[in-house]
Amino acid sequence: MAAFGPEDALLSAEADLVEQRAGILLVDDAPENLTALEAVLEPLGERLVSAQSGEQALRALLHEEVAVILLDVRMAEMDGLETARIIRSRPRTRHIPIIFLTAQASDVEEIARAYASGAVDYVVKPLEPDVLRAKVAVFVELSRERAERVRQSQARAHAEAIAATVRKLQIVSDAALAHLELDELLAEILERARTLFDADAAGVFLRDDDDRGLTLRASLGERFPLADREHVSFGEGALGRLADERRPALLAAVELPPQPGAASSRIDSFLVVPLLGSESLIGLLYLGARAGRRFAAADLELLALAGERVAIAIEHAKRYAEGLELVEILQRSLLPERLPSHPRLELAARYRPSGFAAQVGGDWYDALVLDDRRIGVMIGDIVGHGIRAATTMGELRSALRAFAIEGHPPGEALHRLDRVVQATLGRGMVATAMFLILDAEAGTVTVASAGHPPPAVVGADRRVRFLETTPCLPLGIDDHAAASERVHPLAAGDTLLLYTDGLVERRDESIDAGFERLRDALREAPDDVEALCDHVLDRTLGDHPGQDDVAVLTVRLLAGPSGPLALTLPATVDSVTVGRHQLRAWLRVTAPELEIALARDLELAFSEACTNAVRHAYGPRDATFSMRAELVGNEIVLEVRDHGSWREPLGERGGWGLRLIRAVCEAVEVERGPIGTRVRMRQSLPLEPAASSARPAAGAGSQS
Amino acid sequence: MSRRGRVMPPSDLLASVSRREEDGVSIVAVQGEIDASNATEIGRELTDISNLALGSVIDLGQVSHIDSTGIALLYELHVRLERRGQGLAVVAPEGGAARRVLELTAFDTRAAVTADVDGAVSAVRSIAGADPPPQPDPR
Repeated sequence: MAAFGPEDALLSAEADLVEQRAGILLVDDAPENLTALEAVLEPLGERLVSAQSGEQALRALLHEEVAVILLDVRMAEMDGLETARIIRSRPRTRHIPIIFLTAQASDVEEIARAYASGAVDYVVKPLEPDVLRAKVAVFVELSRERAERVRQSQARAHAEAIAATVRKLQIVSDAALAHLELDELLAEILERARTLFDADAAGVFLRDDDDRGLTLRASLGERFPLADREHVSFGEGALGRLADERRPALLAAVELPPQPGAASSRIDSFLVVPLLGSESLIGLLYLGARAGRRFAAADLELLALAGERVAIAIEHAKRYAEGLELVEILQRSLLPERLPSHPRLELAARYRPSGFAAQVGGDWYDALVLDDRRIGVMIGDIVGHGIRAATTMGELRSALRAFAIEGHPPGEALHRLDRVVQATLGRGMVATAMFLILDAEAGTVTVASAGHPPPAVVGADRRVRFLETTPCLPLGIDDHAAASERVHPLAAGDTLLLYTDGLVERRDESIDAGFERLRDALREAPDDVEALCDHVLDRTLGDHPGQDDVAVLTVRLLAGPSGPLALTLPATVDSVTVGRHQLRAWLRVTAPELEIALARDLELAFSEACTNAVRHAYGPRDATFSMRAELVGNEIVLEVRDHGSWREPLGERGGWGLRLIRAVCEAVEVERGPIGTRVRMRQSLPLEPAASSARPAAGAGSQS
Repeated sequence: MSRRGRVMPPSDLLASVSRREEDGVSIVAVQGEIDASNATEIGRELTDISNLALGSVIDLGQVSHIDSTGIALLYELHVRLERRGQGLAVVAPEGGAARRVLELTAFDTRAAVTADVDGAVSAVRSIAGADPPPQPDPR
């Protein structure tokens, strides 16, 4: 590391040695005239520059700043008029006023003709000292005013440039407040700073959590050459001391310590500014320039200004990240940690926050087992966002859960919840809620709703229906009577979907379009309830991740352990999949100990039978076929029945269907009748889980 | 009872197909379930092989269900590749869903069925005459 201390290297701003006196150029080829002019003008106290010829005058003007020129018209070599012409032709000297000195009246006319400009005057010899002095003084004063104007306009331009730069940085940091995470924010700020300051290196060190030093968090261009490691301890080395002193510093040339694998390069100039948070130093921002470019004191001032904004942005980004985490924790704490499990029911739920991150919503759901045949499921939505909505949601959830546990039916429970809303939460708080009790034995669902959108049910046959609820106002609106209940049948394989309005409502369309979108999504949803939740969210929200948060909860009623599975499906190839998946779910419940290989064989046989039924079902386009699965004693009996007649195709590549069925099942009966074909497959369950002797050997059914 | 047309998840949810190439052999991996509802799409994927490829490996290691519709696809593919002088090998690990059905339909007596992709690639290369026949699988 280069041996230097920041104090030695600090470049003081170069003293601006501006000559305070104005320059007056005197041009005459007669030395005695020059002496006379000097004597006349001496009292003005300005800086007198003398030249004895036009050439000398032009040479002097190359490096002298003068306010006015006194020029003799008649000179031996280059005369005054010619000298003036050249002076006026040069951009640098064009504006300098000239006072011609002449003894000839005829010269005056010539001067007037050649230079009809206000910047030119003349004095006829013999000179009148007071008049000449006064004229020169006027021009000197004019020149001073002009210089001042230029200086002011340059200063204004500079100030505007700085303001524009700060504005740009401000734009970066302001935009960052809303959207960027810390690392993205730093990358954006560094890129912008590097461009604005034309720097070759840029980086940010941030304070460590343990407060012992700073660590390089982001950098661009060359690695920071002032520290050989990415960590800097407070008070140690140039950076550590700068961090302690918390002041901006302009550092001089530093030879880069050799970097392994990188060509050594020379950083000529460094700006380092502290990033001061509301309470303490949060880091350092540096810029480096190499190869001849040097930062100026003005750059340091500007970067220090920028550093103030950057510090604010970084603090915001950090707080934003902490806020997000907090919101997540809050949400997690308010929604049920896990859904209850029940042998006859499959549950899954999702909560998706609104597109505006860190905006916690008021949607909630809950589910609890009431007894061995019934579970209660609830969903609700508090109007509004923010921590207040979220905590209110938590209160309502707990209250409704308590009413459910006490055994209140859905209507009564909602009525009590409404009283809670009105009594404790005050006017102006509006919420919707729905409470359903599923009875797995009875195959019913009892529903009461307070202003909540209706639940959807998708059947095993993929038909979608919305359950009717008795219209009732949301909670907190007015004194309202107990929400009345409706009871609907629920069949094995039916999947109930509860949701909040964010799922179906879009600002720019009617809610009916939302219901249609949900209906379509459900019709094509995957079997697995977890995947179903994701599918429904993706399909309905699509590219409109929304203005609102969304909660969905699905419950599927599975077939009872002893009950048969019976379905009638359309005779299309898609039904093969539906039938097989239904069988899979039924087997999981009916024979949970079933060996996977055996379950696969049954699915295979069933799939083959369904495929044949679909292929050979003659008749109108909306033909159907029926399937049935039943546990009889220790035997699983599968049956597929269609309304066509099976013709067993000949040859190796056809007719595998039945052969496979026969290969994997213990017993197969095919009955061809006048109204259709029925295939019945039987498979006894092994008495001990490990026994698999019932499974026919591989290849038993093949003809080769 | 439904009288609606489309009643099941679209086939793309049932199975997914990915493809890559290794040593001049096209490797098509199917994941999910193959049945009558998606056989047409799967078949299209399976037969999409470059003429320049030595042959094709069909990886059924991640297939959880395949029935006779799927086996018919493999038989068709086998005949087709044989005619074009390209090799075919099917990956179906022991104990997997595909292995059982391949054995029941005797497909394993017609074409190479291996436990892993490496074995299948060498099998295809040797069928296509690019490599000497592989050592017998110790398994």
